[in-house]
Amino acid sequence: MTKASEAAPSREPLVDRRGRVRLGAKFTPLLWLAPSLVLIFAVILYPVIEMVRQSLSIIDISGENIGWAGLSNYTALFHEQDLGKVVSNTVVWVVVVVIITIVVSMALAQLLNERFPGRRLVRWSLIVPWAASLVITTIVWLWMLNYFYGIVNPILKDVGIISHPVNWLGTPGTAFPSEMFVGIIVSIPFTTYVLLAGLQGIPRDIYEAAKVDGATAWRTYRSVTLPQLRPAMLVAVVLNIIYVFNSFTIIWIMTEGGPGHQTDTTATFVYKLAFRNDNVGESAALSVLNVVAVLIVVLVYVMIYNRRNEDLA
Amino acid sequence: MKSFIRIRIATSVVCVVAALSAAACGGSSSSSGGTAPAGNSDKGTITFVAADYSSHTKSFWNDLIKRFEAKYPGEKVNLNLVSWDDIQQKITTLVATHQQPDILNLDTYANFAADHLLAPVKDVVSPQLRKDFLPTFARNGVVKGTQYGIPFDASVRAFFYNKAAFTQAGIKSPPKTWQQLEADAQKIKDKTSFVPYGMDMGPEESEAEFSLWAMGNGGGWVHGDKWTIDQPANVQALEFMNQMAKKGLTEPDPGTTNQTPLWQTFAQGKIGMMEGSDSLPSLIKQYDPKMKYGISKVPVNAGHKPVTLGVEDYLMVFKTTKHAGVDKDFIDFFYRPSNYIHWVINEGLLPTTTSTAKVTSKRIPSFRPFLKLAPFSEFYPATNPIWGAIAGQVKSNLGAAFQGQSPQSVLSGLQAATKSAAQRTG
Repeated sequence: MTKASEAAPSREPLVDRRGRVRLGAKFTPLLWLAPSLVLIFAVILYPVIEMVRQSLSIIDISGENIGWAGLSNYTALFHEQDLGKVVSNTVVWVVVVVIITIVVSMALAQLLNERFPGRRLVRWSLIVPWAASLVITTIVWLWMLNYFYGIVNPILKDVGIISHPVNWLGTPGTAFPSEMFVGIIVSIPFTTYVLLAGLQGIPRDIYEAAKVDGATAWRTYRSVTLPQLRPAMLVAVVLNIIYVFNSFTIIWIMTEGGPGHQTDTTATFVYKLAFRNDNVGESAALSVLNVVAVLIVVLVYVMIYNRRNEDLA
Repeated sequence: MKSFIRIRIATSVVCVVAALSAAACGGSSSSSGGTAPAGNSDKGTITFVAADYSSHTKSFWNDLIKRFEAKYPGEKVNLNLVSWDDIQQKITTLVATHQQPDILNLDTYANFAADHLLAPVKDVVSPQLRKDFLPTFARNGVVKGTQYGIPFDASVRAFFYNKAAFTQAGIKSPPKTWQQLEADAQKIKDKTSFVPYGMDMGPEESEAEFSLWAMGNGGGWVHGDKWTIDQPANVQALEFMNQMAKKGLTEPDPGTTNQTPLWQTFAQGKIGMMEGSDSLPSLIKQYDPKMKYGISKVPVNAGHKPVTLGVEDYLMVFKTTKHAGVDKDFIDFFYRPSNYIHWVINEGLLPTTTSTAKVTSKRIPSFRPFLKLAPFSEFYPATNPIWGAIAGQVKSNLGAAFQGQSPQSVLSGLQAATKSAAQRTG
């Protein structure tokens, strides 16, 4: 800080002799920011505006915008008889996948933070499913779970867990959990690395202090590790909620949300409305509500999290 | 997603322009002699835009055109081969910019006919050839009483059965009715380890399987211009299918089984009976060349006429053509059995003329069953503007009839969807 103020006089002053901010100085930063601002507007803001506009328009069956719809797309959406199932699926999908991912990743991060022979290899191998394309990973699972030639049934049968082959993706009762399983598998690597980075950031001396105070392993974990891990945990949970909420690939490849809408989430339902039903307006309406829902969930989570942090402090 | 919508918007704008230009063309064509009387003395170069079916397509057309130009001196054909992915967009652009070809090969023609862009078939095809077309296929080329689409080639569905499964189960001949099908499936279930009947009602192409059952019960998608998805014949068909699944006479959960994996499983010799198309034999050859299988008519509900599902491609001549005589010569030349048979063999698709069907049946035994079925074909209501949106919802929802939802409510839902889709037609 002191260094910066020492260096300041040598630079062009931002304020002129009368104390007014120089016009050029005011806009210079904008000039440097312009490329990224243009980029943000073009690839983020403009599509959002277009999405909202479409949700308020009548889009005909061949995709042509033929006029102002008011809120009729939204009312039509709320009259979709499958919407309830789709929303409840989405809630279950997000809650189950995020919670199990965090719990498993926490254990894995803890393990990878310990010293053991071959640790480097294990850390590297965890990257593989993350680096592989999600489509490929999902298709591999699709094949492994296939009723006729998949490998999962013979293995489970040999081990004695099941007595006759199960058509995993055939009924919603097993298809949705199978999809959640794959969702968890592909979310674990990233989450583990975020938490591992958090664990490595905890200063050693706090643990030494705890040891000196005679804290048990469980007490140390509860009172040192978990509180120190809060920033990493916040990042891991928020990003996971967003990724999992918007996850499309796994469900689309494995069941296309079917049969009917039994395994649809809002992400796949948006797609079906637009490209199966040729109803772009209603699809845009659901997209808008999707964004709003994610924002609310994340905001609420961050607020609760911060309040608890203040309580502890 | 965004870019996709934009492309569609762009395409529909082009369509509107095309429609406007069509009206303009319509006004002037009578004086400019768009449908000039044919005569072999007419000479000139025609443009032919064709779809690229396979690696054989290009060499077939090049060879045919070379021989055509040698036989008819002064008549030239300019070939423009376009991939299936791009051809719709390409032709829309050509029409919008008044550069439509003389002859076009595509899987749809009705939109152009409705826009008054096409020459009637009687003006561009010789009377002998017109008589030669199989009636089933010629009928699909008719819009409001006039034939515009020239049947180019076709593919039909048939009933496939694994002969080993039939032998083991003691079944002598393939079933002709639903009732026999059910009894045979029960025998296969009791006596063999085969899946009795493979039923694909998953989202990939459930409309095909369901069409076969619905049509075999006297039902279907439309009656004239009216949608009849929830008619009693269709509900009864879906209920029968559902009962088959409940009795364990199909693979587990047909409502989520897709066509590709099911056909692969049949080709691996694990399924007793199934509906397939004329492309299934090549898949079987690839998986298990030694497998013994039979092909027969799709079983129908007792008392109904035999029927099957067909898909058809077309040739069409735009009425802006300046060399109708050359068009006529070229089309007639293509349909000569000695030429047309090579198209049929190369592409593995069915011929649409009686003469070539005879030759094909003699020369390629594997085509015989499909040629026999061709006259029984019925088709999707693909000329209806909202069929695309309905087919999409059919894919999404039909499977639910196998997971607790009643067939009646599934079909009523789809029938209701036709109303909301019709409201969104521009």
